[in-house]
Amino acid sequence: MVFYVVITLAFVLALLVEGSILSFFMLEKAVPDFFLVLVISLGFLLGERRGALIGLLAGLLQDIVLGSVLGFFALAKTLLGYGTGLLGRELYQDQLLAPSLMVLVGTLTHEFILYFLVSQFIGTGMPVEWSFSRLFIPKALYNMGLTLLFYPLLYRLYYSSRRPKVKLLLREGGSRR
Amino acid sequence: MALLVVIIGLLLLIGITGEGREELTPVEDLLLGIFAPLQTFFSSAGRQMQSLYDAVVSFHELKAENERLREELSYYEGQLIHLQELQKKNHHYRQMLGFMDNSDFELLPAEVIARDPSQWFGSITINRGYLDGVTREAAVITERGLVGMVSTVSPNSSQIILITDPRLAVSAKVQRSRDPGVTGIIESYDIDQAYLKMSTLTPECNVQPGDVIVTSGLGGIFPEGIAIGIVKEIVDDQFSLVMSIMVEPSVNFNRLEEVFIILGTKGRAPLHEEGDEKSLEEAGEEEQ
Repeated sequence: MVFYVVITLAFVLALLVEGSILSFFMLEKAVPDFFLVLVISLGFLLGERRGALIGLLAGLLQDIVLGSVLGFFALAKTLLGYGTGLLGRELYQDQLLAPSLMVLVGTLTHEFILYFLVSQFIGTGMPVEWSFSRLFIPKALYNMGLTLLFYPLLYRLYYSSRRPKVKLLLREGGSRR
Repeated sequence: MALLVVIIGLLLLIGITGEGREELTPVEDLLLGIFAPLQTFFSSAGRQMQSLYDAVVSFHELKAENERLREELSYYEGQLIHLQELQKKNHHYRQMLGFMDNSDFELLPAEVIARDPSQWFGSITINRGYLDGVTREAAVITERGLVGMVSTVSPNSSQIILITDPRLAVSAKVQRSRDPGVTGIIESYDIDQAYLKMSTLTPECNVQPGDVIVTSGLGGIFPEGIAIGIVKEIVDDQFSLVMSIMVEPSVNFNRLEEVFIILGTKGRAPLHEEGDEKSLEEAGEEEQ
C-alpha cells in the first residue's frame, strides 16, 4: 500500500515538475519524461497487467492535465507498460542494464507511437527525421539517465514493501509443515 | 483480450475527443480543479528558477557583451577623434585653398613634419623638396603671414629657418606709412614676450602701436607686402640713434602645421631660379 501511495505521489510530482518547471527551461527542446520512466520501470517490476494498468491511469492523468485530447498518452503508456511487463519476466530485475536499455528503447517507441497517433488523428506533425534527432534521441538519453538514478530506489522500495508479505507467507508455510 | 478492448476504447476516445469538445467530463473537471493550484505554485516556482537561471546565464553574457561594447566604444572613440581631426584638416585645407586662389603668388602647400628641438622655434622641416619645385631661399608663409625662408632642400623635404631665428634678418616696413624712413630690420626674437624686435628705424619716423608690419621687398628674398605682425610697443631708448619696436608676429610659430612656399608670382617667372647658389649668410646680408 505504501508503495502505491509513494508512486502515486511520484507521478503527481513528476507531472507538476515536467509540466510547470522543466517546460520553462527547455522550450522547444527535449524534456526528460520522468512520467514515462516510472511507467516503464514499474511495468518492468510489476508485470504486464499492472504495468498496463499503471500506464493507462498515468497516461489518462497526463492526457487530462497536460493534453486536450484524451487517449494519446494513455494508449502509448498502456502499450509501454504492458510490453515492459512482458519483458520483465525474462530479464534480471536487480541489475541496472536491463531497465536502462528498456527505458532507452521504450522512450523511442513511446515517441514513435505518439508521432503515429498524432499524424493519424490530427494530421500534423514535425518532420520525423528532425523529431528523431532533435527530440526523441535526447529524450531517450535523458530518460536513461533518470532510470540509472531512480530505478534502484524504486526497486528497493518495491521489494522492501513486499518483504513483510514474503515473511508472512514463509511463516505460514513453516507452520503448515 | 482485455488489452485489446482497452486499446480499442482508447482509440475511440482519441477519435471522439480529437475533434474537440464543448464540455469536460466531471472526472476531468475534478482532476483539473485539484491540479490547477498545484500547477500555479509549481509554475511560479519554475518561473522564479528560470529567472534565476537566466540571471546567472545572462550575467556571463552581459559581461562578455560589456567587454565587447567597451572595445567597440574605444574603437569608435578613436574613429571619432580621427574624423574630428579630418574635419579640422578639411576646414583648414579649404581655408588654404581659398588663400592659394586669392594669393598673388604661386604657392606650394607643405606640411610641417618636424621641428628642431635644439633651437627655440628656430627651424622646421616640411614634406616638400626640390622634386616638388622647392628652391633654397624661397619665402615660406601661411595665410596669416611670413614664416621664414627655405634654408636647405633635399629631394622630398626642406628645412625652413623661421623669422624668429637670430640667423635670419628680414627687411620690413610699416604698412600704413609710405615714408621710406619707416623701414627697419626684424632681427631678433624675445622669447619671454614672444615678440619680434624691429630696429634701425629713425627716431622721428611715424609709427604707432597697432600698425601692421609687412615685408619691404628690399633684398629680393621676401616679396613685398607679406604680413609680419602688429606693432605692440615702441621701445623708448633716448641714447640710441635708432628706434626699436616690438612686433607681435601674425603667425603662431608654436602651432605651425601647414605652410606655403612661394614659388613665384602668378603669371611671372619664379622668384628664385633653380641652382641659385646664394648662401644663407649671403641672403641674410643681402636682406640687411
